[in-house]
Amino acid sequence: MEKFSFPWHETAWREFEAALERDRLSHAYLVEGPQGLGKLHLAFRKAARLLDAPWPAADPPIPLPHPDLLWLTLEVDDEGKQKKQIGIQQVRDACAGLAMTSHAGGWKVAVIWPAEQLNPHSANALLKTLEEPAPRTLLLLVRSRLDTLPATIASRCQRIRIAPPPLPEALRWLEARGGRADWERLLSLAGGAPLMALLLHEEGALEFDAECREDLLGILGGGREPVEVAATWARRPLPVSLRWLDIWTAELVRCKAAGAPPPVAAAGRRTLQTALERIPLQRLFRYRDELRSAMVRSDGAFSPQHVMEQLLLPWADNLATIHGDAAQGFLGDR
Amino acid sequence: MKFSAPRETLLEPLQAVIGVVERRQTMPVLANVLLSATEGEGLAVTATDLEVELVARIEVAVDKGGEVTVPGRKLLDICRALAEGASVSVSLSGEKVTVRSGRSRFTLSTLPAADFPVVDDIKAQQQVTVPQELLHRLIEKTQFSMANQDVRYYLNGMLLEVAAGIVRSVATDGHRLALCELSIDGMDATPQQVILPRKGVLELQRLIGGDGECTVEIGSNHLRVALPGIQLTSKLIDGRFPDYDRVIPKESEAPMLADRAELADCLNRIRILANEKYKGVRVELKPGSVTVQAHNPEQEEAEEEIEVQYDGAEMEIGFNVEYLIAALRALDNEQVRLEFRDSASSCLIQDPERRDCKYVVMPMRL
Repeated sequence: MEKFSFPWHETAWREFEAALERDRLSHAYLVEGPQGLGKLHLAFRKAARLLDAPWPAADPPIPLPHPDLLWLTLEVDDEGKQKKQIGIQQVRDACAGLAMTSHAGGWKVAVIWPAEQLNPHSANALLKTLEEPAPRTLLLLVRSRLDTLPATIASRCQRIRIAPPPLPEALRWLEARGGRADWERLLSLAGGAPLMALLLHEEGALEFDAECREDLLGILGGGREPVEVAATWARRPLPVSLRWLDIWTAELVRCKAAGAPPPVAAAGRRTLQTALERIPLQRLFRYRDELRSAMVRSDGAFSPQHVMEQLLLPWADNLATIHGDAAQGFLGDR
Repeated sequence: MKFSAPRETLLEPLQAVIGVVERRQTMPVLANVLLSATEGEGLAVTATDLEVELVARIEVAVDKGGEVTVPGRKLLDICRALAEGASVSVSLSGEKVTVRSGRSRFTLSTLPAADFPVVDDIKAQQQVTVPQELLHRLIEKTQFSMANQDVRYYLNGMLLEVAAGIVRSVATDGHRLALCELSIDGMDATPQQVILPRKGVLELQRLIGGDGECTVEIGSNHLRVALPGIQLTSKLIDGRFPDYDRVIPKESEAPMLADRAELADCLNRIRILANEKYKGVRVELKPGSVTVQAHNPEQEEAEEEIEVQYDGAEMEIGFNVEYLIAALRALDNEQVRLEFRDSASSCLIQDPERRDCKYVVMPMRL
């Protein structure tokens, strides 16, 4: 169980316990914060507490098998492919279930993750229940992205923000959990999220991190061909490359917006500075949106080579022109 | 666990419960049925979708008691596919269940019985015993008016109300309402209302109808109906049913009396040319006759006049023809009594003699 204690959840947990004690629980909570903080673990732990069942701590988190727990997530279709959205039928079934009396005579809990993957229709289908659930019913929505969930949903929930723990605490936790590694570096790549740092460590991020930075500087400086770089990157698992690119883009946004130091070795700083001056901040954000939708789509429908090319080509001219599928995404926004 | 039985004996409980085993489940164990064998008693087969639970019991020769869950549809398909009259033996060894019959042998995977969410004790607040026939009537006369997937979730079911000597069922979708009330002499009950969800209603309707009695237990979370050989337990809808009494019009002094079949046939003919989406018809009342009229966006028209007993005021009211027909079909008397107040008020339809069923249809603006 030690493995599944997350010290940075403690405040949220204590507040939950206190609210429960005083019979002041909200009917719906939206647990939010960057990926890699174990938010879903927290949701399941709360569900287990209310349902008076043991919390089946496991990684990745699994819902406890309890008839009064409704677990809404991305379904796997008949061909074994994961769907990209939480569909309206799933939500309707869940709402119908929540309108019934409970099986064991106690609480009913619904956990919805990832909440940002509710499409507009399913979000609307959820509204009525979210607004006025039956007594002793709790909805727990969990999301890692702040941009996509309709405001109508968010405004009906009490929000619980889980923030990354302070560095020393995170380091202690990582050392206890994952042994020795350059956790400080990994944590900075992970934006401070310990579970993400752990994942990056398992993926061997540190080994290819420097390489990737070199490659991107090469593209920005004109010395490397994006297509050739894409071919190298495509050899790694696609989600790994996409995640790295996401970290890189986030770093550039920080660098551009807040004047943080450029995330490359001294030799490449000039190139990166010049490039950054030419890229409007808005463009960086747009690129990030496109990247994130590629992350959602990364299910094997396109070849990794193709996806990487789409995402690396724009860097060759400082995100000025957009290629292929990506273009539709960008222009559609205008 | 080990028991054996003729194929037909085993098939019966499996077929009775398989209806609630859904093809898509949220919990893998719900694809299974629970087999519980007790020495000297027989076998109980349980299936559930968490909303409705069915337990079918049969007498079989049990060599060794025990319980386990096995894939429901597969077990049913196997039993079905065996030769008629074959003897089937089922035994559990380790984590597998073996089904043997003649020279066939099937080994099925299992999940522990402890993981199967059964409803043991519904903590019944009261228990009433009614003839099956009456319960069947309560459902049959009103179930068609239940809402389906309405956001007002408390309408997606049927209200069952018990009071001393009375059982009542009410269903409404917000456009029409059906009520059936039966008095049962000597039945003692404290007044209580529960909403049985749609699926539970339909499943119950399928099971009852035979002679004999059934026992209805009402708890705060579940309703359980025990029939010979089978028991249904349904969750309830967690909500309050609207105050139906307020929407039932008072009986008027000038009711319309019509031949039920004649009126239903007339509406059926007129319906053909009603607007396909809204199904509206215009009902014109005059002393001694009623004219029903419909037209559709293609400018086609239908009109028919029938003779009725009526001496009230002349008026014109729009109705959804489907609702009128459904109410007329649910009645079984030769004559029908309809009451209207004005063109903006609902209509009350009932049997002029028995008056145990009431149907209310809201008017439509045409």
